[in-house]
Amino acid sequence: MKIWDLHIHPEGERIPGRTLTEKVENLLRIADRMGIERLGLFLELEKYEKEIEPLFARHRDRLFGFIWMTLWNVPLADNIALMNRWIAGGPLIGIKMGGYSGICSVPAYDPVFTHAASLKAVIYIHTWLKVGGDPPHPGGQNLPQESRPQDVAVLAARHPGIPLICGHTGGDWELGIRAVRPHKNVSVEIGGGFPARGQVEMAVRELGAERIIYGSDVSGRGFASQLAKVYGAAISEREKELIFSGNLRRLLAPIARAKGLSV
Amino acid sequence: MTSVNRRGFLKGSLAALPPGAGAAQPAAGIVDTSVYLSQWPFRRMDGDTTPELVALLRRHGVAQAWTGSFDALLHKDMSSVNARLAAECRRHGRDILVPFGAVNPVLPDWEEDLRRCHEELKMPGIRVHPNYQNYTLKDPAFERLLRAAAERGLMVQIVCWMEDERHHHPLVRIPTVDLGPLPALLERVPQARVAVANGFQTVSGARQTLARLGKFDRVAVDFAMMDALMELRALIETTGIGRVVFGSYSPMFYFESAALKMREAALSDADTRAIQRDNARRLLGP
Repeated sequence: MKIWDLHIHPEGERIPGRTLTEKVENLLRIADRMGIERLGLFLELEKYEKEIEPLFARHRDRLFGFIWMTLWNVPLADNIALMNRWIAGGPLIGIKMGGYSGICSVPAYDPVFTHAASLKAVIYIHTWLKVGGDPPHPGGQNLPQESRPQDVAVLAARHPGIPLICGHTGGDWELGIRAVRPHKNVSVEIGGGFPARGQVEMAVRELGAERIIYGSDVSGRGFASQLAKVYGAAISEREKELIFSGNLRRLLAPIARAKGLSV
Repeated sequence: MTSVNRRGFLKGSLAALPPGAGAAQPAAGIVDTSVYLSQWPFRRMDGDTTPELVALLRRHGVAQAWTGSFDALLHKDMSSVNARLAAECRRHGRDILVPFGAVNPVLPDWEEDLRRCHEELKMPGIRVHPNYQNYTLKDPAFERLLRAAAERGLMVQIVCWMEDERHHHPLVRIPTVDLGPLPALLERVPQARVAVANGFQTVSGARQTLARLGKFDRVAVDFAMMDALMELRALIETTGIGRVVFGSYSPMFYFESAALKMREAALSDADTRAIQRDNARRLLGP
């Protein structure tokens, strides 16, 4: 079964290597052991700018990359320029918003998403619902600039023609799946949480297998626990194939074709 | 309980995992030290009936499963929880499920629950959930329980965590058990045998405690909730191979998670056997 991992953080002390290139090549060796064909790297560009182009040239058939983008404290024009430099004019294929990046539903950020869509870039948005607050409620302990799955739903409703990936299925997946369920342009990525039985089954039941994408969140998570969510789920082999790579390949196809990459 | 020889152990080891290029594979004859019967209070899931769970464990090559009950988390009538657990294990998994009863040392007359687990239900150990029962390992009641269990030759499993704290029901928020006091307790109760379940997410967050626990040869830790790249290998390097046991935390977690961590860690056959069978059997005793 072909497995593509949407969600890799190639930095961090757990991954052996002194440079980005060494770390990624060590990750590829572990990925080989786990049967994973391609890795999607979330890249903090300023850390490794000089390594990125040679790295992607060398591993053209194993890697795809996302710009890790911040919305709330970076001028729009700078983000547009980043996408032009690294997606339109470079090897990367998408953008990723993290837990500190800004609430994705804020209308002022819309030009980032519409420009990404015009480049056929894949859009990944971290989401989580952390219980807390007074009185305690889901999302009450979120970071100030952290999106919830409900924020992705708002963005999706405003831009029904733009495909969006709701990262981590909202963390609290029983709520996250419900939050994005009405919006057919939203897929969920299952990575980053514990391998709780039922997550993938509920997502298939409520969203359909075509809206679910495998990702691991390595190195903060391991490959093992995240692969297990799909391997262990009580779903069909065809549904597993869609989740492990079919759906992501479909989302990547337009930009891959434009760049002459294989999918 | 099923007995598996070395040939069967390694032969079975090639069948139980999804395909991949891995070195270490899961093995037939696995001792799974972390399994629950009954129903998680907040969600139904596949495998939360005993026949389904037994079938799942057999499919993955488990020969022996140390089994507690989800009912122990919130129920106060522990005697009936334990009687049901023992009856379910006998009825559906006599040759595979080993019941570990629950004892709550802050309930009145908990000593009788312990006696019944040992003398009437013939359990080899007990499983405690201090966080769900609102005491800590510093509480003198826990030391009394540890001593009483040790005097009876019963192992004590300490379960520290059940679910991601970020996703708890807003009205049922349960802190993780602090294992910091455990090494000192083990010094004071030298006969105690202890297995820690769901104790740690990462080694880096608990390196000192893990290193101290690794010095006791009557202690084991599982890795069901450990989750970061190659974290099982980091655990082995910190505690030593002899302290690590296999726990799947089924049915709450997908069994494949623990099994694939063995592959991710690229363990030798000897280390695989130690973790998946021999360490647990040694700790449990004859």
